[in-house]
Amino acid sequence: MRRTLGMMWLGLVASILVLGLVWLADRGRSWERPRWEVARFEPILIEAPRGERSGTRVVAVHPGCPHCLAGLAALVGRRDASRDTLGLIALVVDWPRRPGEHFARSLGVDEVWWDEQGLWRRHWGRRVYGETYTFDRRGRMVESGHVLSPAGEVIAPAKGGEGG
Amino acid sequence: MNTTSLPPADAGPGGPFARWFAPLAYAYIGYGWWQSSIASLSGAAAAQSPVPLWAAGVFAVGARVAGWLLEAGYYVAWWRWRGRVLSFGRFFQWTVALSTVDLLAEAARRSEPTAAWMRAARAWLAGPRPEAGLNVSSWAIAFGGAGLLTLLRLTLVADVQRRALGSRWMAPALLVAATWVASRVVLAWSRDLLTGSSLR
Repeated sequence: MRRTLGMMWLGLVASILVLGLVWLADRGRSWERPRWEVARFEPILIEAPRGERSGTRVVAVHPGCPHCLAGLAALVGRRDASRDTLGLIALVVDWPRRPGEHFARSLGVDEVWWDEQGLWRRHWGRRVYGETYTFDRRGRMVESGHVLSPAGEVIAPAKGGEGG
Repeated sequence: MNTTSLPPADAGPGGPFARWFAPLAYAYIGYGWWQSSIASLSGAAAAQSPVPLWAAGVFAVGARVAGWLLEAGYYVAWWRWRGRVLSFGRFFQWTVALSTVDLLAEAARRSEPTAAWMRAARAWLAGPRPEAGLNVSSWAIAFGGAGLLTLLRLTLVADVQRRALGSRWMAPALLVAATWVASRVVLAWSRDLLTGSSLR
């Protein structure tokens, strides 16, 4: 019994150490700073522009995530009720199949793109669905946020030294 | 092997509640946690969730019960390994009873005092982080809830073990403190790994 328990404690301590090493390795990685470059994504739906855009707001959505889809719908509602000149784009991430046009239209956004190569996760290091990124006209990230952030969408202004 | 167990249920200091009062007390604690979970969940995320709030509350209470079982099992297994015996059932009852201190801390965190001295008192009692936002760092989430009520809870957990084992303070206090710190570090690491470079 004591030997079994001893092995159990050893396993627990080893698991915590492994978690710490994984954390260290993950924190040591340098991630690519998000840029909106359409050549890197697959277009699914592009609606006619509603007017001149001051930039774009991209929302990372996963078709199986009800929270981020509902958050995006709320964002679309707020955008339609305001004079927001940002183009609203849904970027479908972590989805192995090309999203259908019916699904894309149901989102109510200006454009829907598919992250076929997994850049969002593997290059940008992003892992939270529903995160929003505001890009200027040149595709540089101005700020990031989340559709469920209660104080609006902005969580953090873009940081200059964010990865290579 | 020195085997000391918690006193039997009918011994005064052994149980957290008198036998006749225990069902009512545990039901009230369960209800308190259900209410606390509902209050915590009723934010923007809950408004856009397809899961009804009451069901999410029931699930949250179920998760908390599982956490108590795990906590009690953890300490019982530790002392068993060290050649000492804690009664699992009795220690679980104490774990549930002492969660009322956490319940109080949760209520303090959710409070919205206007006076500066009350905000300071809340920070001392429930920790400097009143609530977890999306952009709060993992370390602030992990350790920001540490206040006097956390200290009280940990002290009481160590005291239950000390009394049950008939030991001195040092070993139970070290075990409880080390466990708490390790659990907080694991929480921070896990959240960092789950979010990556998101929300920064």
